[in-house]
Amino acid sequence: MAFTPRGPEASFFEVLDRHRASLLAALRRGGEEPAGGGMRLASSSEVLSSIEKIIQDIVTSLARNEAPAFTIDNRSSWENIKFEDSVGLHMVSHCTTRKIKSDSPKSVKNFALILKIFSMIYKLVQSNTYATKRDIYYTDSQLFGNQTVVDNIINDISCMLKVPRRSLHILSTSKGLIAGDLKYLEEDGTKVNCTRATAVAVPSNIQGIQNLITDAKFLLIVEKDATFQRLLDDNFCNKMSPCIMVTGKGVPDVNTRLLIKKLWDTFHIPVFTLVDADPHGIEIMCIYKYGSMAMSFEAHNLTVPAIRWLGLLPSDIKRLNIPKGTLIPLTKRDQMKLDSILKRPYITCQPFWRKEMAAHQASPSLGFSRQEHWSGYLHHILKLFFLNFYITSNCYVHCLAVNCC
Amino acid sequence: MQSVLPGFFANLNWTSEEASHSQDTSGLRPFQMIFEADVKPRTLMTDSLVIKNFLRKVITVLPKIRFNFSVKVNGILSMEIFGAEKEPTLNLSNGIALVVNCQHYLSTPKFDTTELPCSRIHPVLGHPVMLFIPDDVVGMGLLGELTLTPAVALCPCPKVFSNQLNRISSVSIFLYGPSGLPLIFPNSEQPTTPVFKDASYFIDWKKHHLCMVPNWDLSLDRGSVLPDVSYQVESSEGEDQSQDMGPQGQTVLLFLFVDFHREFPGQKMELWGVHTLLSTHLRAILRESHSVVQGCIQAAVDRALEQHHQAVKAHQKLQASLSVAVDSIMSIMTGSTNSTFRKTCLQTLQAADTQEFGTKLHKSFHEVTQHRFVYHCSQAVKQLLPEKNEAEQNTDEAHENSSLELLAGTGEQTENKRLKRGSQGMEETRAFRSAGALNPSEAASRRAEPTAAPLTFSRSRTGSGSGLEGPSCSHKAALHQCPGGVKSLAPLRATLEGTYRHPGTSLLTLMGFRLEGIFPAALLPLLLTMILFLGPLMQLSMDCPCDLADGLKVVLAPRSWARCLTDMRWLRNQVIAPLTEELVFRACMLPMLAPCTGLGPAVFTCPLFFGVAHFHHIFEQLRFRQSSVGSIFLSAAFQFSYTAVFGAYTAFLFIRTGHLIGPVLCHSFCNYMGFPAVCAALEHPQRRPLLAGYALGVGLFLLLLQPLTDPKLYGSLPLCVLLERAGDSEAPLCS
Repeated sequence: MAFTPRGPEASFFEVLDRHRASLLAALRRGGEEPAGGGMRLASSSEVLSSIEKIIQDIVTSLARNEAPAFTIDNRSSWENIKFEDSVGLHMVSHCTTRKIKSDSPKSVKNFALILKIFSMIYKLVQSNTYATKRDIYYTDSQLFGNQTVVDNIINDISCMLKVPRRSLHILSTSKGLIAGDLKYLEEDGTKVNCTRATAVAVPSNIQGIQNLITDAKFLLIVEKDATFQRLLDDNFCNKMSPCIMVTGKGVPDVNTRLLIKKLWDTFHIPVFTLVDADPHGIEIMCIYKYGSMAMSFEAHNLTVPAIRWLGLLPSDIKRLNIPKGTLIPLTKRDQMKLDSILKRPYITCQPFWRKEMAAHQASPSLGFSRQEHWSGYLHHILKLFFLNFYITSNCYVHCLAVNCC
Repeated sequence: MQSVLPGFFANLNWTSEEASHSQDTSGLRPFQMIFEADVKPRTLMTDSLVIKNFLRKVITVLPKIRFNFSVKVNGILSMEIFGAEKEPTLNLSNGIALVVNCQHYLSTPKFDTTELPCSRIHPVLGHPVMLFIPDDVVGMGLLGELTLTPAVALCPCPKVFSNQLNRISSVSIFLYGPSGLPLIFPNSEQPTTPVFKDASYFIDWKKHHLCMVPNWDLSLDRGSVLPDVSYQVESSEGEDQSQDMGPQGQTVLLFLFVDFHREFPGQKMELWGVHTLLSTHLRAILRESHSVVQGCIQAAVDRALEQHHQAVKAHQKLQASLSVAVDSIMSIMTGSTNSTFRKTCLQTLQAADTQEFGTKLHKSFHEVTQHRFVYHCSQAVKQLLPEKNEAEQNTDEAHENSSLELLAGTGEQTENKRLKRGSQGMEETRAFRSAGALNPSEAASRRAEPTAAPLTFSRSRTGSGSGLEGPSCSHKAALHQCPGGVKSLAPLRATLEGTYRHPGTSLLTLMGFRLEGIFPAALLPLLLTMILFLGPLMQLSMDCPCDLADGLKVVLAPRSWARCLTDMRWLRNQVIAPLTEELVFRACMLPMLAPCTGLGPAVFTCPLFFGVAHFHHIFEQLRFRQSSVGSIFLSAAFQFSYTAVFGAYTAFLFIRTGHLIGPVLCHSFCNYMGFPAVCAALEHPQRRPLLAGYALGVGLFLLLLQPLTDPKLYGSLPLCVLLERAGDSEAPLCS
């Protein structure tokens, strides 16, 4: 006989459930299309043969006495990005490319490094072993120079071969943390229980996770590790209800995003983000929801458009009477960031966000508040947020139904 | 006119005893000078070599001029043409175009120029400096302001010699006077000249870890421009000698252009006169303005070497990158298990085996990039070409004019013109100079950088992710929330079928699956349980924000039911767990237990199994140490007790009603309600009615337990029938 624990705010969960139902309904209405567009895991032999083909091309062009070059999709231009409400930011099929030539002094090194990583991937795939990005860097740290070089090249290769990083047998050490009502089995059979007081690191092999079990009613994404720990110390997960908390510690890494996508796909529980009410917070929330430009080629595996911006809304600062002293004025860089976000394609279909951001653009002196500075109020305020959500959810559900939000 | 030329030649032909020259001019543009000399053959040879060298030196800076040098000895004519008209030049922005083909500066036997990837030199132009003219020279009639502009180049183009890149084996200094005419010293004075005797007079070679000594041993017959002054690296250590003096060491070419700055003082004086004067007194002038000259030359040399170092670095980087690329391709090639892939690769490069493939791959990579390098060098020159043309023409024109005017004896006007141009140039150089003052320090700071090895990446270990190293996951615990045990129904069923097959009581009816009296069996036990839970139900309705109508709406809405049915947890808690647990512990277990123990004890033994079945939680908790052992056992005991009580209750219901549906529904209901939140009720604001409800519920339950589960309501009980047939009747439960 299993007794289900009952939290104090039964009504809140009803609203949550209603929200969840509407999300599910929207998902069903959206149809089966998301599954088709994504990058599927490529088999080892496919990866091997595509690498072989690239090598063959290089050898052929050398035989023709031409300098070989790699053609790589340009991942740093908004022109190559298409926005779709159901997927987020993803790459257009015919995007502009850039060439990495072997005969120009500037790019020859990059060319060589790409080849080197190709050879490493080839060996990894052949021997069916896995390595982290850091491992690859340390095989020849002198040559690579720094980690970001390796990371960029791996993303480029993943984009070039059109396979997810996992298929290249490259892992990355996750920086994200999970806590809350979640239990799962890792690929190697390790049982992981996140219900305890300390947070669990996001596993590096998300695809290998099995038997996910949760009673959670919702998933809360927290931007900052500090806030996350604070909520953990306050025993938020137990006090509030069964829930899962995830933090990406700032800008999330791929594993954290994969995990959130997996949790959403498995449970279809509502996902909320709790970020700073500053442009960077908004951007991080957008990365979770719609993805980033650099990883847009893998958007189908990474984005969860159902994510909702729970807080801190810039308007909350006023609404919650946060003392002025704890506010940090917007810097020029923040302003620029805000402007650049406002130009992004997804803002057009989020009039509510635009309103929130425009309010602050109009009165920049008010500034944005960062969570650390009022974490004392946090528990109290969180309740208010849920109330917030509770009040507005009817409208929200309605909006979802007519597909305008 | 005649007085200038012989004097000029007398300087050159110092060794010649007598020289009687006559000249003839024919035409204006192509002009001809014919000299007749009556000298010994050896002297003539030397003379002609000196002249040839002079001509070579002229054409390196004035490539538009072509000389036909013909010598007629005893009626035999030998002719040589000097000209660099078609050769690539580099405009050095002081109005002089320097021929950059390094063949002009290399003595032929040393290098096979076809091997060089880049056949050019890449001169660096220094900033012009003012020369201070000593008083006694001024007294001699040399007035005005002189400037000196150095240009430094490394010859041959250094990029190709990857092994001996930094080696400098010799220095050659070329001196040019106004309008690009070579300044040539009288040979006799040279060894004693303090200025050029000291190799470190202009350039601090110790800074570059080089020890230079003057090299007077220059043969005139070398087919390239003979430097006015030459130094070479002192070969002090014997072991280094073979390396240092290797043929591929590089020569630093230092061009010094001396020119007048503003007003040409000798308006009455002729150009050649000034030139002669300058040649004679240059040493004194240079000695006077030693520090200025040294600073400016040093800066130019530093810049040239810096450029050189950068080129070296770029080249090494390229080499390193290429070998990485080749190694990677080879590693994929040799590691591949795909034979067709390997074969195609080999065929493409027409290699017989992997080793040959490797060497060919390396070679073709080098060819491709080498080609690129030559292109790169020539491009640098091309960029400078367009602006050059005009200036070049100017120079050319000026020179021709002056030559012609010299011949005509009316030099003034054009000289003025030329010098005006010079003064314009000087305006610019003034501006330069302030910048030039900064240059040495700037250059020095730049020099500090390239000492690092070309491919070091010293910042490497502070990468972004270093903090994330270490075990990625420290928690390895997992709990299964497994509803009861549905582990082995099949064997149980087999036992049941084998042992307890009785005529009249089918297996299914024994297990509580029957239609007779199903409605009361479904409703009455549920009602009874709800009466027991009267208190908790009241509590629930008090806490619920929505009123009854809303609640009913939710309950009756098909959507909410659909949502429940798709929710796995709901299905588990409300359907699967009750059904399976009741099936195993009541429907399967009681018909087996009852014949052994009798009905009464069966009701109390069966829940023990049910309670024990929940003990697996203890093992999990113990294994993963979720809390202290005591609290684990306490909670286990508590759970065991209430599950046992609940099990007894449903067993009682099962026997009394003979239906499985009643216990299942009750179980489901209890699962939904959970254990009554007694503590919450005690602290509830409406505590009194709530506690009254609790008490009332328990009281009513006890009161109604017997009547509502009366077996008569549910038709004949298969279990009782079974037991009656077996011989012992259990009156209290079956009636």
